[in-house]
Amino acid sequence: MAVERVLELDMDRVPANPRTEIVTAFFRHRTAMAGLFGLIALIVLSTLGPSVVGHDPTATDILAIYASPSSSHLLGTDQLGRDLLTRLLYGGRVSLLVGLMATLMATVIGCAYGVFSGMAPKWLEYPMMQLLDALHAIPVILLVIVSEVFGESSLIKMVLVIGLASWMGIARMARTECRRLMEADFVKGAIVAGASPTRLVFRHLLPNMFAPLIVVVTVGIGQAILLESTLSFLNLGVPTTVPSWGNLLGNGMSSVLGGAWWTVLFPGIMIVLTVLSMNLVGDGLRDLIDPKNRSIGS
Amino acid sequence: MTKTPLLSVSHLKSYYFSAQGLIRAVDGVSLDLYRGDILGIVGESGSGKSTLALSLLGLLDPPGRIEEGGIQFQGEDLPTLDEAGWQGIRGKKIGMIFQSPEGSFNPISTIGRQISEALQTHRSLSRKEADKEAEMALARVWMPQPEEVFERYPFEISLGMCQRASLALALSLNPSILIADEPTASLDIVSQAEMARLFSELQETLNLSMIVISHDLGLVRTIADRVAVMHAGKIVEEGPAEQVLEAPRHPYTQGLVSSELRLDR
Amino acid sequence: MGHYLIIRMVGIVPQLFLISLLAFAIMKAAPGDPVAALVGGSAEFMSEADHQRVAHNLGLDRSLIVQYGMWVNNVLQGDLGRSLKDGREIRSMLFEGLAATLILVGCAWGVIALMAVSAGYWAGSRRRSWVDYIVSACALVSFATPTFWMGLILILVFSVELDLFPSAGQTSLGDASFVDQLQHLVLPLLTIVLTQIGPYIRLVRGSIQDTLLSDFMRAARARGLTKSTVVWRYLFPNALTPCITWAGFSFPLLVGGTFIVEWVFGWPGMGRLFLQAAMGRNYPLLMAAVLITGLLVIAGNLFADLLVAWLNPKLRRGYGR
Repeated sequence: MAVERVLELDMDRVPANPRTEIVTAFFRHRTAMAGLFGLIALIVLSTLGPSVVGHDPTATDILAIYASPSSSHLLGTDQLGRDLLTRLLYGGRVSLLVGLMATLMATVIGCAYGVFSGMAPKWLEYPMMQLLDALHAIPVILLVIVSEVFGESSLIKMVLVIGLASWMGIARMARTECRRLMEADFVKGAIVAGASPTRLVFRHLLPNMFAPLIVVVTVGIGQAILLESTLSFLNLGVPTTVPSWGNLLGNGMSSVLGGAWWTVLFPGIMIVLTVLSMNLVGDGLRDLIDPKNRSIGS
Repeated sequence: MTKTPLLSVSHLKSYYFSAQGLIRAVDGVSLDLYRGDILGIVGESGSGKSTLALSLLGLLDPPGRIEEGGIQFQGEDLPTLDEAGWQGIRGKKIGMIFQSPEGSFNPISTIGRQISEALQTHRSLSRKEADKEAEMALARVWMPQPEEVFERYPFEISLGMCQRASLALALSLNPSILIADEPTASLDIVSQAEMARLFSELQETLNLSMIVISHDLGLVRTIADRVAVMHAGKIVEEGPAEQVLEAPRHPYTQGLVSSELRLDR
Repeated sequence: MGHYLIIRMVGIVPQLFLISLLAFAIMKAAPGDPVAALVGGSAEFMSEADHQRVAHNLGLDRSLIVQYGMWVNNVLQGDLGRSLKDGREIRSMLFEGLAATLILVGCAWGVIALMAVSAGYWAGSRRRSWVDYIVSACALVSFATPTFWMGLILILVFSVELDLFPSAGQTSLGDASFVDQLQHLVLPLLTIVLTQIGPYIRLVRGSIQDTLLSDFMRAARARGLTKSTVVWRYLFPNALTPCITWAGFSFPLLVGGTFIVEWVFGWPGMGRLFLQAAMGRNYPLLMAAVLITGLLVIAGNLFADLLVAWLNPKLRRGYGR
């Protein structure tokens, strides 16, 4: 192994601007960059793709039912002759959008709950955490499906349902961080100096929670996308007129036994790639804030 | 002196190959340990003392390794041993106690169980015999209520007692050499003094040969026969304890000794 | 240990309460005739007087709190109502379903534990080697794969194309031999394991890596202990305890995944019942399934915690010193 310089204990080295250091470190992290690249590719495909491919996602073609991949239908067609590639790209928009919105909502609720219980006196915090733990005991799938059963399906409802089912993890993390920060000297100093609770939260607590928060959020988006696809697969998610990856797979389930493998393979691969990209980015971010640096590819 | 050393280190080099660069922790160290002697190795943090200690037992893990040099012990050159060979040396021929008393023990196993476990590994003893020897080992290091401590978990006893238990375990295996890496650094003043007395007594009664690594000059002054001063991976001065500590010749040693906080000067 | 047990049991109460509230809320929120919700389809044919009587018995004319109390009372006596579809007693339906689900979940947990510990140890003890990279990559992909999709793919490959394993049900018609049951178990089990194991592997790997760096591991080697002693008595008990805690904590996820798999493979477990109830708007069944699932999860959680307490002397001795 080539060894160039002997390490010097350089006590007087002035540390560079931490923000640029972090950004540079991120760009050096191979798998995180791969994830980021994947995400960008995905977003571009979903927004611009459909116009490039040219097929109408709802156009049915009885003559081309269950056509395997060919030059006119790059990824084949489904049971109504609709072009799969186009539907896949449109579906990407839905899945990404729902995942993003739902996670955003979960983050807001989770942070609010977590920070509040972190700042609350012990007698209030304890039951709040008990409630959180109890909620956690219910499988998310259960919660989500039960909520979907009541009322009509719509995109907004999906976002709400997934968001309401996903805030618990964020809340727990927010509360832990909040508790930790409350013990920090700079926070205590701010309190003594008379900072109002609002100022405390927005200027001192939240900015310092940003790092672990962003990690949880990125992974959370992936999880939300998985949830949405599962729900849509069960026809309990987005309305059936809207294509989503889960939808496509739900349709594909009946065609599996007939051997139309493309209806099942491609939407699934898209889901895996999307969630994987999110997780890689999240992992990369986590490696940056955790000095132990255990993940692969860094 | 014309007697042959028990352990002889010659031009030892142990390096760390990290992503940030090369660290020459031990950079050409030579020293001898004679039977029945206590050799003190002093120096500030980062001088390479602990790396030296770990090298002597082959416990240096990647990214560190012994790069060059020899360690002569009982007719063998230790760096040439494979893992099986090292296992024949560790504990049984050369023992070691560490800086962190509680950290030397398995958190989920009792003190007694761990000592008898070590005994059973190295000698063919039944569980009952090993337990009995373990208890005796605890008594030998002046442990109060050894039968009680036998049943305790590491987190249930004080640090001083823990360190003594660590010593008991090491001694119970009857090694020729005991290496102590900062044995008193985590202890309070009273425990430190007791530990020092214990070392001296064991040296007398068991004719124990020891290498004591410490940044605490007071400890070394009390118990060591010979002293080696380490700085930036090299030995800068070595000799009989009084000479090195009272009349140091090397400027680094002089600086080290003069910066010691002493109440009797 | 007794001390810890008591605290733990007390902690269950709010969880049970919440699950029961959720189940009760389902029942109350169900559109339609509440009497029918509990009595089943035969409510249509009841006389007005009978209808009134049943309504009164159910406490529908009293406050919600009283209704809740009466419902809990009923449940504790074993009455879980009747299915909206065919009037069957829900209790027996769920009982059958629970057995099937337990087989799947139990086997899955076992296989995951074994594989995660092996892979985690393999990778964790060889940091940054190719083994480490491959195992970590597999774990990452596993984490990103939807459970139902994996099921579909496995069916496609092993059932349709290769015709190796059956794709539905727990047994073939008329053949309940052990081998046949095993054959039916393979694909669903594989699906659950492959999609759920990701986080477990990463956790075990991380924990083993961390523990290997601990002081006491080095001390153990310095004593000349054999490798097997060091691995089995020092490494595993210390590294795996936090993993078991987390496993108990994540049990709800495992159960959720199992439910989906039951649906895809037509496995006659509680998950499939639950999903059928949801899709068919069979509210009484839905409510009962939620309740029993909640109980299952709480039980699994408790089991893991007790296991950890047994392994960890600090918890056993009541936080020592």
